[in-house]
Amino acid sequence: MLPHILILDDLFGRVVSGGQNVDRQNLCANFLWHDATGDAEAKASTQKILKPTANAVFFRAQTPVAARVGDVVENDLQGALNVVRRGWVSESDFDSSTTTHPRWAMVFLDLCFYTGQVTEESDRQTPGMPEGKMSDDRSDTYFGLTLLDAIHKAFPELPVFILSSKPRHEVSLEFSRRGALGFIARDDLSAPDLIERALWHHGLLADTKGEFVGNSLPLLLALREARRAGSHRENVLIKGARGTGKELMAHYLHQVASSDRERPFVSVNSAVFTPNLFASELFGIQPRTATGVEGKIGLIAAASGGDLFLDEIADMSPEVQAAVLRVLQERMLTPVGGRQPISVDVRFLSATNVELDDPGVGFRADLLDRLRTGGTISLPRLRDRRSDIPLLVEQFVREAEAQRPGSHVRQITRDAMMQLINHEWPGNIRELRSVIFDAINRHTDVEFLVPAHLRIGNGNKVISTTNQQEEKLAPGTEQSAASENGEEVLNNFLRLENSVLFDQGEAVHWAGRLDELQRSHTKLLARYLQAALAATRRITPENLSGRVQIHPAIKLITGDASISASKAADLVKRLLAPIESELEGDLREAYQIALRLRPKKPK
Amino acid sequence: MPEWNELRARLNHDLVKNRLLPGTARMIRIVSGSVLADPLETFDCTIATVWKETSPSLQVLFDTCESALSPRNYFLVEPLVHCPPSTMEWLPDIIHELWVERHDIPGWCNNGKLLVAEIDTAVPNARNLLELHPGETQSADLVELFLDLQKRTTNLSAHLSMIERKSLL
Repeated sequence: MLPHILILDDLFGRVVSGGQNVDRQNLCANFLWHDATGDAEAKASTQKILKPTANAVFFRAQTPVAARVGDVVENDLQGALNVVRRGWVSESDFDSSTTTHPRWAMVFLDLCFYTGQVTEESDRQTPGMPEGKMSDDRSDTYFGLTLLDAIHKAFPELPVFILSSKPRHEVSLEFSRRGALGFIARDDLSAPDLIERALWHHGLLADTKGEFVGNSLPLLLALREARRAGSHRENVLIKGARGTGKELMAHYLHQVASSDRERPFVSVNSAVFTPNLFASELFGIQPRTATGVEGKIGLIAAASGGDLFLDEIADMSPEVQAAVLRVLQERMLTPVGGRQPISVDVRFLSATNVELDDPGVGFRADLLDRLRTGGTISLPRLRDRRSDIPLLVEQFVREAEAQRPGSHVRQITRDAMMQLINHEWPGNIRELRSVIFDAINRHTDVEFLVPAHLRIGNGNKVISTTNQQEEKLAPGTEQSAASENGEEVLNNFLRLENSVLFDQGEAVHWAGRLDELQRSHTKLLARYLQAALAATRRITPENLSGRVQIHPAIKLITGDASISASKAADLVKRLLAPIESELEGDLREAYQIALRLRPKKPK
Repeated sequence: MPEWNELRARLNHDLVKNRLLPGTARMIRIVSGSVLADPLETFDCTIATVWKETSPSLQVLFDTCESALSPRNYFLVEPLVHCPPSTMEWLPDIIHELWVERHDIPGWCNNGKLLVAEIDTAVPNARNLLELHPGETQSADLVELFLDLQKRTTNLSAHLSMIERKSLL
């Protein structure tokens, strides 16, 4: 997706009656911009940019746009603001009919706008341009600065750059004071590179890889912060409620920084660090041939030269916090059983949905400061970026259809979409995804998704530890919520499960459903195992994404450190056999390992 | 002097910076193959016609520079116009000579004319080469040629800006 930019300039924005605006074509060729203005000039263009870097819309900011000899050219502040507004739909103005409205990534503004009458002489020199007044060309009365003032006042978040051939020093203080982010001299030979860099650093650009779907302002601002933070190797803190895409953001930061070369990315949930095990997990184990101790590379060393993503850092125990702090201070660590410290070059990307500055949370302030030396990125809640919901829904519908071969290609009706847009979404994007997948699962043979298909907040209760209060979640979010909220949610779930009573009067509804209930229960336990497998992956230099190990996973979920490897394999087999045909990823791998270890059928 | 400076600023800003430099940059994109367009047609409308208009005006600019900018002109207007005739006989000429000597005005004019002459030669040469290779893109020779023309045009623009920074008195 190309960035959509606006250029307010009298020379490039004018339409030449009966001719061509050569200046605009020169500029587009030099900066590799596709002329997306849609006016007569753009249509008459005889050139084609093979790999454009932006879709450029030009506006003269004067009337008449196509001036002829005898016309009087005047500046048009209101007209210019209207054009700016067209590419700047605010969240509150959102209307579902404008779902794919392109937003300006940046506005480039000229300084000097010539006014007055178009004479034979001025038209001969530059077709459609007036002779100009002395005041047009005075640095204290440039119309470009008046425009800048008005744009900044009406659209404070819109990035504006000055693009002019006038001397920078004349307006250096003025353009900064009025809110422009920089100045690029149009006649500078490196201007195309400078513009590309300005767009990357200051522009509001969507995620071209499509991981983050949407064009809403809160999302684009977060992505911009990430690009700025990702351009250096300082530690970054990612804040966001559950389901907002914190791990996705960590990957985005990693990709931004790694565009030049491959760097490792290691991800871990901080909640798995128990006081007894964290040192070996984080720092690794020094191999000892004499004693037969097997070596293990730690997570930090595995991420050396790249990024270590620590999810849910609020769950770190004080011991783990102290250990991580030491590594951050000294950039050194000593593996368990080792004597010699080794130096590490790791950027820490941390994520939390907790206000860590709050002293009540118990997170060390000195550690927090070091984890955010490169800045804090706040991910918006879904309800704060409602204009992205149609795009997200479209993506989830297609994803769900792709997973169901032969499924109908369906559309979502306007009233269903409005229902989705107007929901509060406490579980954010993850919850929205679940609602869409659930609807498509249950209604495989329809071409339209209507409100009746959507089970939004229909009474399924899951207790969240995020805010210690009951929230209504959509069906299908139970797993997500449990995996994020940790031990307390699990305890609450167990309490809930123990308290379920079936009303005898409604027993008829439960007739013949025992198999289904057992299957559901098995799936729940399998999810529990899946989380344990993820937490106990063995990371090696050869395999940085880690290897599935069933023995430590079973130890973790049973709490029994003395359980034998064969017993663990039996348990995995017994647990997963009833859902063997549905197994994917880690669970399938774990099942195959268990079958290799215990090929006989369980008794 | 204001008229001369206005002409200089207009030639530099409107024609050299806003037309010729972007024109050469566009030609570089075309002959390097990143923009599809007819090279000869584009050259004619972006460079050849513009230079045809610019070159004679620049000649006039450099030819009239010394007389237009000379501090001798201050003796033609208030208040120095009231100097006694005996002073007028020698002072304006001496001041003019000192100014010319100090700022090397003829040197600046001659260098400017040389830069114009270089582009006067380079433009038809470029056109000839384009005619010899009609429609050719991704040509290293042509890229080299237009980079050279761009460099000469940049030098001319820098030269025209230099006079702004010269202390005239």
